[in-house]
Amino acid sequence: MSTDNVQPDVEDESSLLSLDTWDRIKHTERFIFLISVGFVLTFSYLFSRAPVVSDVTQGYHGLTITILIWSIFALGFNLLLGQTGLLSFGHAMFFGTASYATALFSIHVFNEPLTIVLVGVLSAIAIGAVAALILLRLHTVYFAIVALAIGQFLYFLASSPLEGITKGINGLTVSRTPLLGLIDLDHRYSGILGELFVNNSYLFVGAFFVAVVMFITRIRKSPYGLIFKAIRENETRASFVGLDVWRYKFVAFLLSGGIAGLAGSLLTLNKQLAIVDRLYWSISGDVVVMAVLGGLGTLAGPVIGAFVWFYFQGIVNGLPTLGDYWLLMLAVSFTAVVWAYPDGIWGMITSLTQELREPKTLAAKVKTRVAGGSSAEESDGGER
Amino acid sequence: MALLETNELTKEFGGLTALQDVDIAVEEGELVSLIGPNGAGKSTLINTITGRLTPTQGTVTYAGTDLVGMEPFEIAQIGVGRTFQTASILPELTVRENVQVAAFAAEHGSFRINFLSRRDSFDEVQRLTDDILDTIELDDKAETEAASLPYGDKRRLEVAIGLATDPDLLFMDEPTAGMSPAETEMTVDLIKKLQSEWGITIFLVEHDMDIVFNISDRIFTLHQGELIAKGTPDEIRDHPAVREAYLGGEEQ
Amino acid sequence: MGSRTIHETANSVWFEVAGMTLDAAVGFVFIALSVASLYLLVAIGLSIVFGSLKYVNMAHGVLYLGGAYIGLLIASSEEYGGLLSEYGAIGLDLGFVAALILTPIIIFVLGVAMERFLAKPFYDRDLLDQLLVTFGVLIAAQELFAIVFGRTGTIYPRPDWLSGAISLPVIGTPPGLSAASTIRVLVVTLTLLLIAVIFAFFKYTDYGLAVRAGTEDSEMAEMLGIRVGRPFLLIFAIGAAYAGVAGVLGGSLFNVTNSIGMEIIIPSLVIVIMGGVGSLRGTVVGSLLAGLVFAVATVVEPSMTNASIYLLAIVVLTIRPSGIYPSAKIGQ
Repeated sequence: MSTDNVQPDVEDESSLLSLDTWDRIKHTERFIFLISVGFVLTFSYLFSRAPVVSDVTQGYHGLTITILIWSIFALGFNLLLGQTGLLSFGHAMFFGTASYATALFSIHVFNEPLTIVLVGVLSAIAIGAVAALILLRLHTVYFAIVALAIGQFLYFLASSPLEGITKGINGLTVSRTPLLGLIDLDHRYSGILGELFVNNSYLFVGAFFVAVVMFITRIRKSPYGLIFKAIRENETRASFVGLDVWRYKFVAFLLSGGIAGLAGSLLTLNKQLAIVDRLYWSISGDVVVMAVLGGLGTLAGPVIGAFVWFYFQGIVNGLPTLGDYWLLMLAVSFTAVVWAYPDGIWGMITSLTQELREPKTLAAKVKTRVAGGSSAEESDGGER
Repeated sequence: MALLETNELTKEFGGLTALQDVDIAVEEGELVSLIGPNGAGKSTLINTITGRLTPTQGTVTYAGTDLVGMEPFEIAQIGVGRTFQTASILPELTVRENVQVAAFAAEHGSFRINFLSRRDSFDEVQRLTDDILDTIELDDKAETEAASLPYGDKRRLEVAIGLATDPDLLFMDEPTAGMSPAETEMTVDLIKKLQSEWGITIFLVEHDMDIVFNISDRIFTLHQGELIAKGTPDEIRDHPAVREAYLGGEEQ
Repeated sequence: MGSRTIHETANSVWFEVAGMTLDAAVGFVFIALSVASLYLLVAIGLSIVFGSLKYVNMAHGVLYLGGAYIGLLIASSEEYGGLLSEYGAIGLDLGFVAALILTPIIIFVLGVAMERFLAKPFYDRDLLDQLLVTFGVLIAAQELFAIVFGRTGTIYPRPDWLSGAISLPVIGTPPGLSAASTIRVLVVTLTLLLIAVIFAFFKYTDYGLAVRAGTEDSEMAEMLGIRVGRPFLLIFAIGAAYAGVAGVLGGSLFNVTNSIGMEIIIPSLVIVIMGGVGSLRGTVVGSLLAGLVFAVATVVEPSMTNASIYLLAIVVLTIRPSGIYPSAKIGQ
């Protein structure tokens, strides 16, 4: 799991002023904000015009919204695992609960997009608070599995006994209402704006995406960012320096759950449907794969992971011959990452760019490898 | 009133008695050492006092407060710090970040809702961190990843973390273990400085008898869970029970 | 459950359960025991490996899944979907008993391979890494099976002698046991035997002693070089074989699809944790409780059958976070 926000060791060899400045800038909040806004604005456009993609999706841009939503989910999940070191195999509990809360509120109480999304987030936080009381007394593996058990419990609960409320596999429908009573989310743009982001729904989700990225960035830059990492690295030491580790874990769990719930709400709003599948363990498993595959502990990692996942599920799946193997490929890649490349795809990209910046070190490395020196890397941390 | 007092402190693990009726008192400003052969129960004693273990019987009083039943983080917050035998650092964080974590705990308490504030906006924490790094002389390595430090520096970082919790009483569990003579000397100087300049009461667990007899105000000797001797270095040097425990007099 | 008190609920459960006829009661008992047995056969391997080797193995589900499909290939000859769809009917058609005997042997070998290639490299790694990598392997394996065998499920063809109520030679169905289906009786009996074998292994054999010694004092055992030695490999493979048998039995009780690996491993892991890691007794008790609540649910509130085991685990672990029989050394 790689760290972020850390000034990389500046070797004497490469002291180009521009690279140093770049290293500093890319961690600032302003830059991250610009990048994420830029990403949102250009993503839809580029994605639907990319080769292979365009053949399969044929202009369908709903996938881009789904990718943004799952990026939010993965970012929230990463806050718990990548930052704080707690693995939960039950994040579907947040995703699915928020999904239902959103739908139920819209049907029985009041239907306005921002309101019901907020309700969804609050419901996720509520379920998180209850679950935390059970989970936080458990050791790491127990924590992961009992989280899964809670998720499964909620799933089966929603499937049968509560079917009257949840309508089981048929699900609950959410009807479209204007945002804040004014803005039509289905409004399609024409011309260049249309090319960029098609409709208001995309902007709505995109805005939340940027908000979540900035929120998480701020958390990472706060004392909490440091404390979460300390808990991950050495929980005992963290408590012995005087930190109330339980409470910090509690907050991490709620923050992570709230963001996951946000994703669930947004998906419900977007698809106008809440179904019981969103509580199933495969949802939890999917987000684990995304976050790990993309790269734990970073901002870009979970986003890349979500992208790669849906690329495989949405695009590769549609290809002839290769199509059936999409999930197998993802599973194998995931296993490989856990086994030998713990920094994930983003980690591989960053270490590659790091090496390319220092050609002398790279050349030396290539020489030693060719000479037959086996690099016995540590299982964790590796090189950066 | 002694700063730290234990009374009939006993710790049993099932059938095994690790500590038996240990009575010690540490005065403020002292530097006391705890010695004893391997397995005597030294680490158990520290763990029991600092909250990692719960005593089977007996009391631990610090500045008038009963420590038994308190969580380790609470004990740390009231001024009892410790360093660990194996360098218990945060590997993937930088040296500065390692110290900073402890500094935050010292300045902000055990918990604070401030996840929307940038951490470099807290001047008092930065100052404490810089002070510590300067004292331990790790400021030139502040941005290095802790995992890549040489062993001796890791041990010093361990001390730095313990120091950054702003303790009045600091337990140091074999701080010089595995260090070179030069590093050992540096560490001993540091410990003396902590006592004289920083006014910290030091509770040292050490195997190196030269150090122990050189810098301690008083020495406690533990053997098979029992306190067999306590007194000044001179008193301990000639103590028959101590000699016996170590099979042939004081050795280094 | 509405606004009834716990007391009222417990009372009504008791009345419903107690009011059953003998037939229904027998049926109830065998449902509970057969479900418990299936879970136990899978959980025992998990539990031993988790407790002795400190290795958490989600890929244990692959052994169950593999057992189900391999047993099917041995027992019958059917047409499959996926890559095999163009080959018509495939299988050895040797019957259920042959499957029951041969499958565990094959899965035993698979277990050896799994221990050497998947488990061993991860013994010294973080438990979370183990969990994640075995999770990945399980998902990948399930996908592989789906690609090869297709995604629609099949069932075991049930031989005549296995259908219906238990029928002993000469006396036919013993009185009162008409609700005891043969297959369930077989599952329970077989499980009892197999569990007895495991307990005997631990108590009376040298290998078993080594494993127990290794569990009691893993540091000492490590110094003696026992840890990654043959005793542990053996017990790993035995646990695997048991999961394979469970696959055959479960496949014939329920169905065989590519997702049954995950479907059995989740409750099994939960049971191991609920019972207390490192305690075989805990795993047995946990499985029995799981079977019990399942059967109670089928009688009292059928919609809760699937949720029942998770509710049980949540309640138990809230009261005792280390499990029913906590091991002395939970340093995980």
